[in-house]
Amino acid sequence: MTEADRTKDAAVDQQLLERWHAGDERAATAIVERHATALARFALSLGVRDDLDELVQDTFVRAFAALDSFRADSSLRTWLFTIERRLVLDRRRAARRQPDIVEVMPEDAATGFHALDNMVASETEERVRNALTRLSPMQRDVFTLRVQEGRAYKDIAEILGTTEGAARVHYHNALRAVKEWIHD
Amino acid sequence: MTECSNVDVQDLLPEFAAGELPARERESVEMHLASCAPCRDELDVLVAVLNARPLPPVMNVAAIVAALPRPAVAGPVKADTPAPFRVIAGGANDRVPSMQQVARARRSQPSMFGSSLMRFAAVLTLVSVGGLSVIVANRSSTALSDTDAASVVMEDSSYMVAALPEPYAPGTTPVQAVVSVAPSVLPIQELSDYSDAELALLLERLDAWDGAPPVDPVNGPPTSSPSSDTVIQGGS
Repeated sequence: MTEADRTKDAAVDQQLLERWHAGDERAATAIVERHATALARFALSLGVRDDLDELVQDTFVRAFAALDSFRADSSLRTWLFTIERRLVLDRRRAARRQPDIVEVMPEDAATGFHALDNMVASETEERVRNALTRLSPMQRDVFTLRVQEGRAYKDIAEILGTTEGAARVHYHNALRAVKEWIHD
Repeated sequence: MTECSNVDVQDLLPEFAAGELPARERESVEMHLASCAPCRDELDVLVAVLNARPLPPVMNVAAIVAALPRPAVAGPVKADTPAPFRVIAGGANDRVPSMQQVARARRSQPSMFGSSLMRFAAVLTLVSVGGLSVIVANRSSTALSDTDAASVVMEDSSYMVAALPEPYAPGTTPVQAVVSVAPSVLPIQELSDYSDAELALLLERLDAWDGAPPVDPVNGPPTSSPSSDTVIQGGS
């Protein structure tokens, strides 16, 4: 996604939000339709497998309850990704506090890729997914946000709570590692 | 294999792999790729990663939208509705805007109050003067003799009744014109709905309107000369 595309997207989202504030229900539907799939995909890349619908819904509910705090200098999707990632981290922390529940660590999350339909995945895809599981959580998040979601480094830094420079370093390290593991 | 030092092209490769680059930048990247093996290799990896993108399940958009908290707006009531006409609804679905939202609405519409007051003043003036304009118009077109004096009686604060004396002038038809004036038509509940500043501004605008006739109540026979007496001529 180019900078011009991001600007255009942000303008569309802003108009929809204004319509929503004015009581237009269809604006909410349009907003959810625009971002729900990307949120679900990002959740998968974070390793979420259970209650994906609930996570995406909770993300929208949290976001709409706090629209007053949404800053226009950030894109809506970036903001939604940020909220969703925090929800995922909160759930993992809550799971750690409950010994009866199987603990899900960030490292474990990557195994979700491995569990995905290996039967139907091509050999190359499986090799890529396996390579992604070997990245550190931060490298994987940066890499998938940059390549699979087309987010800019600035957005990635905001979503992951890091700096743009650090995001660039993580991306290049991840790319180098994935390239090496795919060709193994 | 040595790495490419062209950072600008490397930055564009994810968008190039996704087919999202504009034509000009796409051509630039293609030219670079033609002579850069490390970048071609990197592009292959990015395309493979894109193809391995997980396919999320279809989201239930309706369920998500139904769960969203609603914005605190008062339904269909427009924010610029003037106070005298504002509907105070007490339905279960009505929401009272927070002070913050009210403040934001005022900030976003700085001229809202002024324009509402202007509209109200215009409506009030039009309705109250509209009836009087009939009198003015008929005064100029009426051809009654000087001795036919008409008396305009204000029966109460809401109605103005003009009665013609007998005998009627030839060619004229006696009528009683009932003209309702603003207080009985406009849904003003209380003048106290307005602040002092609003009332002052309203009166100032009414005073400034130079088309309005004097609004002295007429409780008895007209004191002006017969030639300028008011006659309301009806006709069908």
